[in-house]
Amino acid sequence: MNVSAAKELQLSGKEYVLAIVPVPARKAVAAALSDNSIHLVSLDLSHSTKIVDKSHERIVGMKNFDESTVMTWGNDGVKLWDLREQNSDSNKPLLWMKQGTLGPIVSCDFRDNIVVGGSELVGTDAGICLWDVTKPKADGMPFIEFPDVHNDDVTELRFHPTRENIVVSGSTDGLVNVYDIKETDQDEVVKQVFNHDSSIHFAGFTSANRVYVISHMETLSIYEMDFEKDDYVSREPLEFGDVRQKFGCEYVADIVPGYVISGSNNADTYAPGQVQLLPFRNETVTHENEAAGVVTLNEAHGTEVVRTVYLDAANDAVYTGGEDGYIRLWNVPDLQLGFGDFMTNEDTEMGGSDEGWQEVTPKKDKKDKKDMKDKKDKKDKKEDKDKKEKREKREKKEKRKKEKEEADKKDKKKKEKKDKKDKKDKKEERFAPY
Amino acid sequence: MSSKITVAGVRGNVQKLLEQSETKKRNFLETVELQIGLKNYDSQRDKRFSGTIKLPKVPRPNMTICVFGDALDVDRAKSVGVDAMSVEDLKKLNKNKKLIKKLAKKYNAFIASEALIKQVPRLLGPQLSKAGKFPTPVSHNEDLHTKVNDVRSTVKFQLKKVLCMAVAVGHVEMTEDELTTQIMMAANFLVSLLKKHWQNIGSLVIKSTMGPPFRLY
Repeated sequence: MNVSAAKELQLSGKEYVLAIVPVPARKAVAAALSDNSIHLVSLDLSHSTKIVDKSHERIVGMKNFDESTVMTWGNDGVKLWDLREQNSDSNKPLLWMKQGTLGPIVSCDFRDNIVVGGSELVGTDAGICLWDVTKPKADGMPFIEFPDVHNDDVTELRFHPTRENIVVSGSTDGLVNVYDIKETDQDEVVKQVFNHDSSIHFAGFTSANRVYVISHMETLSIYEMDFEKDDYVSREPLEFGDVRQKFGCEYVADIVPGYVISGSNNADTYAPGQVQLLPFRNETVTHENEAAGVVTLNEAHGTEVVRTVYLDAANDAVYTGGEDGYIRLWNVPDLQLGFGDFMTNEDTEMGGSDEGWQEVTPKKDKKDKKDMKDKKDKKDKKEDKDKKEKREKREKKEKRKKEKEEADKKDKKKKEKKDKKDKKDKKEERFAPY
Repeated sequence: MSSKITVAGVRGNVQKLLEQSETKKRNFLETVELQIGLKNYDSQRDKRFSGTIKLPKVPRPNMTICVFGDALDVDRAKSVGVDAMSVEDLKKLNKNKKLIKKLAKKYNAFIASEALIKQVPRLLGPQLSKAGKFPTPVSHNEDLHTKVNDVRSTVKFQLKKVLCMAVAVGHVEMTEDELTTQIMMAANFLVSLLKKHWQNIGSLVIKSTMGPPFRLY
């Protein structure tokens, strides 16, 4: 489907539009600009107001925190802004979370009351830190820091969709780390590492145990998170390779649940100015120009790069923001959000076998487990003979390995159990409801 | 995208570079580096990236590699003449920071068996990541010799905050043809990653470790 812009609004002549996020309480979207200002823009782009003049010395990004609050991050930490007030003291954040000993915050995510920030490399330290918005320290410092987890800027952070203690990070050093943020030991917090070989642009979960990663070299892969299974050789990552030729684009502007958003900006390649929404579901990206579901935004931001895309499925609207300082609105019906109900056998098995997780939050896990079980039942019915055979083979293989490594495992388990006991008290304290 | 450098032009400069290093032989193998100066690029607002390119010829033959292997891969590593460590060897380090740092310093790169790579964070903690040397996985289906060569012929590049990039593309014992191919490949790939391509390139320079620079663009 080909779409032309329904409406456009120029917010700046020379600044970039870095992020567009919804503010439902104001029936508007908020746009963050590279001059550190935040603008409130009506949904139809008919008018805008500068609501925050100077959010940071150098803003890096923005996400929506709740109905009326946005979260920004930059050189001096993470700030929450209440956008309900029409004309308050526009440079005073609701909450200011300062980075402790780490460098400027260049990536950030949150879940419930926990905010995680990723730092720029300063000296030899590049890491992540955690704040609790319900129990902010008087000086705004994080309650814990992990300064040793990367060796360059932490460019991406994202919480797991259902498990509140699992976080992935991506860095300019080319690594993607999986954390259990309930750990307090510097040496234990990183649970799994994927070596993607080039700086990470975006990363996140497509399902319970699958992690998508796209680099600045535009190489896309999906890795399997399986650190909880000791006696199991990781499935090889699903590699799409350099997607530029494949998808007919020059860069990937963003990945949102359900879509890879690709763009071309130079006049001499592919389709200049074109931005495409390529359906990304069940670990497949549909990229043929004429294919159903592919949406082409004509002449999106010309020769400038698109920095942010917000899909408002309820209103059939797509908002794009670019380095040309414009926001554009596109009317796109039938947006399909979500990465699909793709759950592999491994996913379901894992939900059940995950002891550590049960121990920490038994209630939630039971619910998850039930969901997963339901899904598994459905899947089993569908499963054809072929798949069953494959699974049997794998199980056999696993069994053999189990026997081999049993001795090793016993020792490890003992140690882990002991560690857990030691840490249990601390953990509960940190995540206690307020 | 049309390239702004020609094979003939690059070859001319490669000739000069090789002549220079020939007239003043050094006691070590000089590396040839491609240096890129950027323009119209704002390191504050634009992406700072890093990555790797696999070149046809090994640019740094002296690179040292260590394999973290299961039983099979330890044997395979021995047969291709690469150092190897087993799980037991890694366990012996006992998460000792000093020992792990020493290990990270001793080698330029690490390769780990697929079955083992998952345990690396647990066995060694964050020290390898911190040193920028987290291993590359190898499966039993892959030929280890090929994998080692892949790792050796893969060069890292990184866009620094000061708006320049440098990447090792070869050494002075390579032939004119080989060096020219490597330089063309690396330059065109790096340019393709910049958002305005050649409009972001201020200068392209090749230089051997001890020799003078030669400007390509």
